[in-house]
Amino acid sequence: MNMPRTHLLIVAIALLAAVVGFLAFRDAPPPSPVHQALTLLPEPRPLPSFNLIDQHGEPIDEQALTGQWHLVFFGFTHCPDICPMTLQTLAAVRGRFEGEGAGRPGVVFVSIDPARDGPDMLGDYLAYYDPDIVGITGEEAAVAEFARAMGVAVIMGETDAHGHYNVDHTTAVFLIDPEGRLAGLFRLPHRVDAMAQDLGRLIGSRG
Amino acid sequence: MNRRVPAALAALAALLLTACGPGPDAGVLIEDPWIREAPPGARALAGYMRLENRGDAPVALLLANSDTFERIELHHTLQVDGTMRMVEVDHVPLPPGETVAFAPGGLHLMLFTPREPLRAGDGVTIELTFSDGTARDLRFEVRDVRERR
Ligand SMILES: [Cu+2]
Repeated sequence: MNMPRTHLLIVAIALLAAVVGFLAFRDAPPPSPVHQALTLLPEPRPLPSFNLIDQHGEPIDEQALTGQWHLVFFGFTHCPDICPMTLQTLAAVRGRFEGEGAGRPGVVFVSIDPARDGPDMLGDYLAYYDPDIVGITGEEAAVAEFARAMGVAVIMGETDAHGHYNVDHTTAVFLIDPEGRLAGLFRLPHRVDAMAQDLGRLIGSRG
Repeated sequence: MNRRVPAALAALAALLLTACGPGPDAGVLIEDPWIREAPPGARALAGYMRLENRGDAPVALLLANSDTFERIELHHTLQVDGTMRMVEVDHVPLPPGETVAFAPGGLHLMLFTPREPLRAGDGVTIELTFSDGTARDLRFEVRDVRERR
């Protein structure tokens, strides 16, 4: 005798749950794309302005980082381990967007060791990975100020008996949107597939 | 009959040598030594390999030298709070039975100032000196590890 009533109760609860669920999610935004490697900022932030030079010795400022997505990495050419790995990865990520015109991200390498990385050194070094990589160097104080404004830690090491020194630095890769704003960053480990997929999704969703 | 004795003795000696473990080169097995090809003009390169201590006693890698480079240091790349640091280590311990990898993003031979341009396929001889007093000459292969496009 009690069975039908129990069933009715279960059906009612299920219906109620469905209605509550529908109401709760009806107005929810579509789920944001899940990124594997990318950390997006809640709001894009304007880039600090800078006046530096590129690997051709030409002046370059923050306007150069507009018009397409850019991946920006800070490093130095006397770094034979992490910096080549990162440049290689970024060149490969860029390679995945071959033929996509303005949808193809640009790659920018900022030397945090401008005393040793003059334009010529930087030009030869970057061309090995991809001649389209933009190299940025310049006055030591101006480069240091740009790095600081970007939140990049730069710790110049002591010079050893052979005149060599290391530069400890942030390994994150910064993502700049086509409006020239800091949109997010990629932390280590930098993997080509994950980065390219995240970027493809983001570029696709924003046109 | 007599002619067979030396052969038998040689076979026995070979068997004993194998059974008794470490011959002159059996202590540390070095595998896959290579150098990352660097852009032209690069003043510092990195060398990698795997070192397996097949002996029963701890040993350490102390030094690396090569005529091809001005100087070689043992380095470790450390990542602390998103910051990359490269530090020189005095020696690299090789505990018995363990394999220590010199690999991208970690331990590497820091190769300063090549005396000649090095391209993929080149071989570079590097001498490794260990704490047991042994030294070994090894051929490192220069490799281009960029992704093909
Ligand atoms: Cu190093």
